Amino acid sequence: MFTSYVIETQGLSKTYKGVQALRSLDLKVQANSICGFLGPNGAGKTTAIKLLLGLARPTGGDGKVFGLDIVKENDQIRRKVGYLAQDPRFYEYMTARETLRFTASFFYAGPRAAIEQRVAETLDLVGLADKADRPVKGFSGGERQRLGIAQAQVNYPDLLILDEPAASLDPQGRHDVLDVMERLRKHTTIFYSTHILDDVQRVSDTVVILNRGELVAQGRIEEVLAWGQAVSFTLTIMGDSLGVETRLRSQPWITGLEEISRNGRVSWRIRVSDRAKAESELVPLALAGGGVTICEFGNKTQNLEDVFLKIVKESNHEH
Amino acid sequence: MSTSEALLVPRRVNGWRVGLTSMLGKELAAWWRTRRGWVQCLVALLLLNGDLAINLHGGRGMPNAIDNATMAFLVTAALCVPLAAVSLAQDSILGEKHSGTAAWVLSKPLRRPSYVLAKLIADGLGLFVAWVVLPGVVGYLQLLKPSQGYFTPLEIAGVMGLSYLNLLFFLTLALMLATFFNGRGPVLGSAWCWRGEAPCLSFQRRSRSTPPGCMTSCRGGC
Repeated sequence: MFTSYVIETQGLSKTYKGVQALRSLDLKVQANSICGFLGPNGAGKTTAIKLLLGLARPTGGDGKVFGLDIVKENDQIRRKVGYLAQDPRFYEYMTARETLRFTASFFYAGPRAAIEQRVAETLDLVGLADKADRPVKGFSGGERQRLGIAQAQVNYPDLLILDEPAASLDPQGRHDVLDVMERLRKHTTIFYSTHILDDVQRVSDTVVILNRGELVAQGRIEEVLAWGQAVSFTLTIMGDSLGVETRLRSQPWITGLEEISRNGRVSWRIRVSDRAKAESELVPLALAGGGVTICEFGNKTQNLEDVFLKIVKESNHEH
Repeated sequence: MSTSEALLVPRRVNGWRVGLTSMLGKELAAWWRTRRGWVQCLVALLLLNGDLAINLHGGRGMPNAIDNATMAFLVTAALCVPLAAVSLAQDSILGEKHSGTAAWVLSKPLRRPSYVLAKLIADGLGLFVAWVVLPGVVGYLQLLKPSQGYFTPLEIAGVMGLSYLNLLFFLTLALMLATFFNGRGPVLGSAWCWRGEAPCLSFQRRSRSTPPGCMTSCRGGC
């Protein structure tokens, strides 16, 4: 039975030897979306993924993947899911082709020609066709990661769960992985954990942020980016910085002034309550006393890294 | 995305056998399509049949030479076969636990019982060929001429059967322990505690030179 959510958990918890790795996780991932799963190291991302796949048993709550129970029906879940573990390991004596053939054998009984064709297509997808018959033993970190994506994709899963898919890749490798994910978007739902927030902002539709085993933010990427956002500007000047600072601080519509650098020039991040006033009056205010040159002025846009750090910091304070 | 899903026949196994065929195929290939099987055969031949050859050659002309050589062969087998079984079996699961490959295959449609059973069947078969059948047949041929055909093939098959039971016990024990523990120490230690208590394979034969009923059995230190 399918629901509109591919992944749905209620109060999912996991305790390891008295340590609570995951606290009451209520997660929802929509079909055919790319969902970035973020959190600092030790936040519980890998634990959550293992619970979803039935590789660990929850100590509380429950969850469903494709409407199937993660404890009782995890065999069926794993038939519909492709999984790439963090730091994937394979049998070193096997070649890439043999590894994919072995993986495919868990899903398909035959015919051999169709399986071989699927293996070849998957190798092609990740750019390993020319290294297909080399033993995995000699593969670089990036090649292993590509093979990891290939083995997760060999059954054309309805859900692809990737744990740090771009972790050990160079910039080109990362770019290729994101391209593969974009290509797969049409066919599958992708749920992936990562620390590379630029990548998340580039390809994800939704974001889930976990901190200390707790869900601290979840939503569409635009919603998360707008989280707690006050209008802010950056202003960089050369000259009488003290005078400019005094004039700025005296304005009631300026709610915050934060010096971000001082290196011959002085830069401030200025939070305001009135965008129109700021756009028309900030520059004249700075120039009012004379002896000041404006080097840079602009609206500061919040990126995912700012939001992530802000959310995690706030969540840490609450603890 | 060009391979039609309709062309591929999905596996439809349910219950504890999920993933067994794939895992068993991989385990058998690991035995016989890599060097593992041949290395085990060679080691078994050198240790067991080499020992028999040395004893037969060294005891030539002495009374009870064949009896003594045969007994030494059986005692060596009783010692080495469980040793080979425990060493291989513990690495079979612990090695994969440590390298992370166990976690990888278990993320596929594969049940834990199938994972262990595939190893038990493949290792049981591989060890049977390498450490029981091959040394048994070669040993029979080595003894054929000196004993003037005293041992019947049926007797040899019986001894091989007993030896296999011995092997199977230790293989199962080591695999079971490897699923419980993460370190090699507890697995090897526990298995060898059992080994110390288990009676070695005994063998009695109606000897022309030794009185009937002289059953040889040894415990622990043999």
